[in-house]
Amino acid sequence: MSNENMTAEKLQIEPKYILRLAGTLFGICLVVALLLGVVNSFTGPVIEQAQAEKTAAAMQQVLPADEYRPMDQLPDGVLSMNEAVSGGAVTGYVVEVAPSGSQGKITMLVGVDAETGTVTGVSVTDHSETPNIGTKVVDDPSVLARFVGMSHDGGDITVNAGTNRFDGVSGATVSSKGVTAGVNTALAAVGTLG
Amino acid sequence: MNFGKQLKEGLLTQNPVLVQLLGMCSTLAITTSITNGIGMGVAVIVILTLSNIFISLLRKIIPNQVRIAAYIVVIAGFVTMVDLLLQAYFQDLAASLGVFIPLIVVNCIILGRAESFASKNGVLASAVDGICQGLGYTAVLLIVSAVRELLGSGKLAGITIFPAEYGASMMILPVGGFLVLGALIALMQWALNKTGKGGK
Repeated sequence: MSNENMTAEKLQIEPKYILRLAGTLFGICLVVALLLGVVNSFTGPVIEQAQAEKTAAAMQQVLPADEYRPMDQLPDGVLSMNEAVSGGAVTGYVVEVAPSGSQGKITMLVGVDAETGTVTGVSVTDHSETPNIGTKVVDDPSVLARFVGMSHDGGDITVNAGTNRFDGVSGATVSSKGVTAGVNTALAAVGTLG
Repeated sequence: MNFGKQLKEGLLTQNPVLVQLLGMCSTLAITTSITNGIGMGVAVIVILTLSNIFISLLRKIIPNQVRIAAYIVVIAGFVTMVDLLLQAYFQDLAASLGVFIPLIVVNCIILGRAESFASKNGVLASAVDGICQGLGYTAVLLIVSAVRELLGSGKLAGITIFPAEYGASMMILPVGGFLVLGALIALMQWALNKTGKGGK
């Protein structure tokens, strides 16, 4: 179609027709938005509850406690932090961090004992690591359990090197380094609390 | 309408992925396991059928100039509903399909069928078209994901067939998706040309 024709066609559009265009589109958007509101009103609470349960289960796994209290003051690089309270005393901290893995952020919870400053557990809650490679680190509880008992007494934890050493999974070095960076951030965050 | 003909078109002669080459992105991305393939396939069948029905119903009301915008709003509405329902009641599946559920909005199959079929045909025919094209998409997902999961991780639908150590991890990586899909498209073209129904 040539330019001339397009202009001619444009001129033929009457104001009424423009209103009809806008009106129809508005009507469709309105109906869709209403329907989405209805769906959201009953799925919203279900989704929220499921996520809360998931987080609670992961917290119990990394550091069992009676109660978790969210903390307001967050050190650098930390998504969220909870005080683990058992029998009225703070026994440790559950730190949520999201270091970079090989394909994206690895969201993980790290439990740190308040007294000894050692890792009590690590749980990966969300990741996009390569199946069969990165997942050998992030989806394998026995690999993540290697962090248990480690601390910052000997400096930062390093992968496959140094004295404060985390043995990574061969072929998945980037993912191994990712989770290690997360644990280091968590330990450092607890360290700043004094 | 002729259900058999539409089914044959959706599955074979007008297969959305292998012949029309639509929806390649999601086909490559999510076919790392059969469970993902089925989940994505079912989600697309539901959304495609619903959007086809509603676009067919609205085809005389929607003015030509704003039709694409109107289709996208309808499709995005259904996709968001399915996404919310999956997150609420099938969390594991929603987690493994991740961003690809919201991305169904821009899956060319849905808009392609809205534009080329539902906007020109009656409600019943459009619904049947949605189901048939969706089945064609799902069939391809199943074949690709079965090959990739078996060769890549030695499993079928999560059941171990042989130890993962003997699998070729490459098949689970994006390159495996390209290889399997490419071979499948070639096979389809060969079969269609041989029976004289496809191509020129």
